[in-house]
Amino acid sequence: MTKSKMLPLDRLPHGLPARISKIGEGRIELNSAEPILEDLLLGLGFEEGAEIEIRHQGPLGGPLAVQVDGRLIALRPIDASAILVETEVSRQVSGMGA
Amino acid sequence: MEDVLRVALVGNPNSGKSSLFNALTGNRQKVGNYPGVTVERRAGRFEVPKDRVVKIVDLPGTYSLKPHSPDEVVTHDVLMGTSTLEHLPDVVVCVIDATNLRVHVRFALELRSLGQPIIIALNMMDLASRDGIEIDSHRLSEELGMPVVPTVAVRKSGTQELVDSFNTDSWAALWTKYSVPKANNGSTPSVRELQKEARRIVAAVTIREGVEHKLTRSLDAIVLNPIAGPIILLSLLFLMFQAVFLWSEAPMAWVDKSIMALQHLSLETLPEGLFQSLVVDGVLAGVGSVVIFLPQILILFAFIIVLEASGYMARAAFLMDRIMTMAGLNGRAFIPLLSSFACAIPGIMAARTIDHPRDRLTTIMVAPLMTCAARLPVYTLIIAAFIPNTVVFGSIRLQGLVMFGLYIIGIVSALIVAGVLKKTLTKGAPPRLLMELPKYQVPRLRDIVLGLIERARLFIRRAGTIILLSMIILWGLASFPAPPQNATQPDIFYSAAGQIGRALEVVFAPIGFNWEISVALVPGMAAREVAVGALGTVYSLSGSEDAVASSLATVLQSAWSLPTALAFLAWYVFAPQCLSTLAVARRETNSWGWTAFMFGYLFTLAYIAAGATYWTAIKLM
Repeated sequence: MTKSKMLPLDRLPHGLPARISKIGEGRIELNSAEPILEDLLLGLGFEEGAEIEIRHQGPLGGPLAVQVDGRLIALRPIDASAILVETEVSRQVSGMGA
Repeated sequence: MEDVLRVALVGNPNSGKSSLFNALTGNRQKVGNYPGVTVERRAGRFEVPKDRVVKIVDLPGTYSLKPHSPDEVVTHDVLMGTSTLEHLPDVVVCVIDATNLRVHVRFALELRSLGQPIIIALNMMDLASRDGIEIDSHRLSEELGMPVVPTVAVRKSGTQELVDSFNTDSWAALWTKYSVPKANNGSTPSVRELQKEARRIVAAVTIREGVEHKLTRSLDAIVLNPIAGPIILLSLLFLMFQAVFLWSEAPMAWVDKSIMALQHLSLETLPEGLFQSLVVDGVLAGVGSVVIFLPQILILFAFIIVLEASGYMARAAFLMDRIMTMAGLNGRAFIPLLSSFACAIPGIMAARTIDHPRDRLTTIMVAPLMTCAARLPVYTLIIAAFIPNTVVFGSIRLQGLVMFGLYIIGIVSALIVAGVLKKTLTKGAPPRLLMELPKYQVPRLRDIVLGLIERARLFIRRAGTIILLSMIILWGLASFPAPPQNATQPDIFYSAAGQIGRALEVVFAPIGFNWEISVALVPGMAAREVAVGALGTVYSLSGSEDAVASSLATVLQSAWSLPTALAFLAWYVFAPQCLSTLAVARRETNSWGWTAFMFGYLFTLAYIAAGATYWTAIKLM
């Protein structure tokens, strides 16, 4: 059984394909002091609807390498949390205990 | 009148823009700096039929027209025509990566609002077809309303069509076919609107979508692995430093032999006297002691250029980010700091890629703590003279271990200083890391060679100007005034240099430096490696003719105590002894205050470290 689920990018399991649903409305709200992050993300090819997948993470909880729009982009989990993504989550594991 | 066409290359970083520039201009290019803003300016020129000169400038790479970093400000201002540094171009050549069309087309659409003639160079067409991508470039041209020229910057033939379009006749034909986009001042469409339009265009022009670059994906599985990745990175660094020392042995011996041959020639042909002394002891000995490090610097830069061009450097920054953050730096600081092992000057300049001002400042401040190649002559000399080459363990010898230790002390100090700075002077929220990890590529020989020629040129120019000049001045200071008739001390003791050295000795005696060292530190201000030449001058002038012939290491062994030698090494880990570095720091920070701070803290650390080493060594012996 699958279900669509929204979550911030930094919580997306590695290797699970997802779609960007909103930039700037993830776990951290982008405030007016940080208008640059949104600009930078858009410039690098992050856009609503784009396919996205976490590929790698740097050692010791380092940055994430995400594949988006044919590009591999490195960003820190804190910044990734500003991106809300949508994914099909398999429910079979959580359903087992019932 | 000369018919000049001004062309500006623009595009995202990693669009192959610089390779295209190299392919178009070859060695007819000039790399310099924009005055005041210290962004690298790459310009070149070539001629096309009917006496037309094409002047081409490679603007710094940018992801959008919104200026965030100093590099992007230059590009933005030139394209807007508000730059005082560069003419408004007659045509903008927008380089776009065929393997990554969507983001690049969005940028091209953004450029359209400038209202200037634009030609699209659809670059990396070879890579695109390898990845199975097929693009209808005529349709792309129709959709964008701009001429589109497919290019392959790797091959010379891959740029011919672009060059041909600059011809007077085809140029006129081109712009009757295409109209110049209209400027829409004020009403620039939002990034999201442009993205939507780009998506539509790319869908329309893509005949076949490619598969993801397989090689990149499988390489990254290893290179970016949390365990294998750092091991590979460390191995590469180890290999790099091994190569710097091993591969350079033979070419350094050649340089040494040539200098000695020149000295012999001068001794034989020039009449004995002041001029002969100036040429042999001043110019040849001094400049020779610097030029001999050219092989090491070139090998180090070859590694850095290859790592950069292959796409690995960004990965190294990715792997190092967490550790660098702990020290209050940014993963991107890794590249400038790595370059600083060659020389702090390119390192400090490479810090421009760090878009956060505070991070950039911290990186600039600690860059001189990385052991630059100019310190090698000093280290090599003192280690060879004072550290026995005994086997410590297996094939590891004490001399190598001490050298390695000096590098480590520099790195650890840099991390500590950066950490302290971040908690005090450059305090603030942690800045972000946001960068593209480009596809792996085999570096192009032409790009490597052109990069190395540029480095060699800069180094030799420095050796031929500032270092040559300081050697001549030092020789003058060391030769005059002449000693009195009943001299009991060596000649140099009575000279101007000797007097300055003896005056400075008051400052340096507490940390174990004698007046000869104090004398050598003065010209050593010009460049660190000059101190070796200066010591040579001081001791060869202060001893008999035999002393000139015998090597400096042997002279030092009898002239210095071990604690003094160790203190001198410790001094050189920190010493702010390079006017060029300070000048670059002044230019890059645009602040005399920070430059003075850099000098002050380095001097203080050097003095404390040398003092501590000297007195510890005395106590232990």
